[in-house]
Amino acid sequence: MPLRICLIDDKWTKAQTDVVCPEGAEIDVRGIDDETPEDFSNFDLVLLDQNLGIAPALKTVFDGSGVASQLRALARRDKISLPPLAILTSEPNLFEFEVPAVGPERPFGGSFIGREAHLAPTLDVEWLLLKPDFDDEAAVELTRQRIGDLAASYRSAVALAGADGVSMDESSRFLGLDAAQPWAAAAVNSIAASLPPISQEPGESGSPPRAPASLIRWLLHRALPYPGLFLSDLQLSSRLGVAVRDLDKLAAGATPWASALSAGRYAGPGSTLMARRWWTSAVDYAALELFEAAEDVGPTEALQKLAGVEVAPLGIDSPVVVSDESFVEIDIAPLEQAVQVRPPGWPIEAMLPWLAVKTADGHPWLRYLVDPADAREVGLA
Amino acid sequence: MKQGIKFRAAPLCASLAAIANSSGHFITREGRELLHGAANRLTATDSSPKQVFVWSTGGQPVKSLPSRVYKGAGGADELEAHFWFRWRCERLDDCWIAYEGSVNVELHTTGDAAGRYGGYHVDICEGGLHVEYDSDGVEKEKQAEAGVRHCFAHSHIDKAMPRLPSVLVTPPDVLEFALTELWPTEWKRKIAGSTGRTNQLKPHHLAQRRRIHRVLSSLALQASNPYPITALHDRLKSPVELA
Repeated sequence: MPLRICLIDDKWTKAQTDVVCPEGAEIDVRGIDDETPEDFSNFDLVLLDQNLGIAPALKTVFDGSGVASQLRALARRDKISLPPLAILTSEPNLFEFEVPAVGPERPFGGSFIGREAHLAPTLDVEWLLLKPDFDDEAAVELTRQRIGDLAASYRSAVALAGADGVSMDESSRFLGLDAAQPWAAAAVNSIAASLPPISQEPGESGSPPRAPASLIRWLLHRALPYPGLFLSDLQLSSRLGVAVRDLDKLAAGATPWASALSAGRYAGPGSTLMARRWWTSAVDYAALELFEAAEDVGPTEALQKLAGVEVAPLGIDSPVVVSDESFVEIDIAPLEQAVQVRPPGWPIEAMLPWLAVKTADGHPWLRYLVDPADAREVGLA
Repeated sequence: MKQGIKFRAAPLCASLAAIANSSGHFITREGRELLHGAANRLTATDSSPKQVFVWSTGGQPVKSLPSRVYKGAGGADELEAHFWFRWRCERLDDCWIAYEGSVNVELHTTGDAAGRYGGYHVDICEGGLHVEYDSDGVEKEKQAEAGVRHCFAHSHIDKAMPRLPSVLVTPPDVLEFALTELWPTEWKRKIAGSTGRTNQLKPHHLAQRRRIHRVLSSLALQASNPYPITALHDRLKSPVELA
C-alpha cells in the first residue's frame, strides 16, 4: 500500500509537494481554509508548514506548531492515534526565540538544522524538516528521503505494535537489530536500558493514543540524537582512537572485527534524519577486542591487526567528544581540556556531554552545569 | 574445574560505576573515566560470546586526589592512591569465575616530599598450592615457588609476606577501602548523603554487604577444619559465590 502523507500549507501546491515526497506516495495537500481530513489517523505522516499567516475569522496567528496542538486536541476528542507530525518550513531560523527542551533556559538562537531533537519536543512535533530549494537536486533528494523515512518508519511501527501497545521485542525488531551479530545480546540489553516506550498489555485491544508514534518520538527525541543506545562518528572515533576520516576505511576491512564493526552501522528507521549512527554495543565490542589486543602489541599495531588496514592513531591522550554551547558534538579533545556537564532536559539514559573547559568558562549558564568537584579540579570559578 | 571467586558481571559493574559517579571529590576525572571504561568492558564482555577474558583497568592506574586527612584532622603530608586491578576470568553458565588476579593500591606522597609511601595488593586464587597460568589461562609448569600455599583471597603489604587472608576481594570493595582510609570522615559523609548520584551507592552497598558476608562464610568454613590456620590455605572445594 502506498505511503499516505498529508501536508497542511497555505502556499505549496500538490505539484510542489509531489517533488519532495517519495515516489508513489498518496499526497493530500490542505490549505488553512480547507476542510480538515476526516481522520488523520489514516495518514503515515502529517507535514505542517510553519508560517500559515493569520486566520481572518479568529484574528489570531496560526502556525504549524499551533496546528499541531489542534491536531492533538482532535486526537484526544476522537480517541485516535495520530501519525508523526513534522514541521516543514523554508525558514531554519524561525524558532530562534523558543526555549529548547535541552539546555539552559535561554533562547534557541539560530538554525534548527542539526538540533531538531532539542526543539521538536517543545513544539510537540516529532521532527522538523527544511523545505529545499527546488533547484538544488541534492537537497530535494535528501528531503524526499527524510519524508519517506518518517512515513515508512511510522508504517513499520504500526505494523509491529498492532493494537495492543509496544513490547520490548517489538522495539528491537523495529530498530532492525541483526540477531546474528556477536554484539546483539548486548544491544538487546542496551535497548532496555534506553527506556523505550513499552506499553503493551497482552490481550488489550485499542492502542493508547500515541503507541506507534511514541516509538518514533522515543527514537527521534531520545535514542538517536544522544549518546547512549547509538553513538556518532565522533564518539566511535574517540573510542577506537582513530580519526573520523579513517572510520570508513576501518569498517571496510575484510577481517571479522571489521565486519562486526561495519554491521554496527545503524540503518534502521530515522537513520536519514541525522548524521550517521552506530550501535553502541557494536562499538563496545570492537573497542573491547582492541583493548585486549593492545595489551600485547600496543594500540596502533593492534588496530592494524584487527582491521587488516593501516590507519594512523588519533594521537589524543584520553580523548573525549566535546560539544558546542548548544550541546551539539563538534570535536574530540583530551580529557584534561574538557569537563562533563549536566544540561537540564538531557535524557537520563544518555551519556553526559563534555564541553571544552574554555567553552564552559565562557558563560555563567554553562559553568553552573559543571559538577562542583570537577569545576574545582579544572579551575572554573 | 577452576576454583576461585564466582561473580555476576552486573553487580560488579554497577558497583564500580556507582563509585566512579560518586567520587568527584576523591578520584581524578581521568581515574573516574578509567573506572567507567573497566565497568563498560565487563558489561560488553558479559554480553559477548567470549568464554575467557582478563578484566583490568588497562595500562594506567586510577589515581585518587591527594588527601591530608588520613591521619585525622589534617596537616599530614599529601597522600594519593594509585589503584589498578587485573583478574583472569572464565565464564561459567550465567556468571564468571575469577581464578587468578590482583587488586593493587600504591600510596604516594605528593608535592615537595613526593615519593612512594607504601602499597598493598589483594590477590585471589584457587587457594592451596601456588599455580601460575600463561596468557591463555593454561597452567604453567610448576616452578620452585610452587610449594607455597595461599588462601584464596590474601593481601600482601609491600613484600611477599605476610599473606593475610582478606575479606576484601573485589575491585570496587578494595577501591572503597582505599577511599575510606584516605578520607575517613569525608567519604563516610559522602556515602551517607542523599543526592541522585549517592543513591546509586545504595545498591552497591547492599551488594557489598552480601559479598563480604559470603567471603567471611567461606573463610569460616575453611577455619572450621581441625587445623584452622593451615586450612585457610587449602584449595577451595567450591567457588566463593559472590553473586
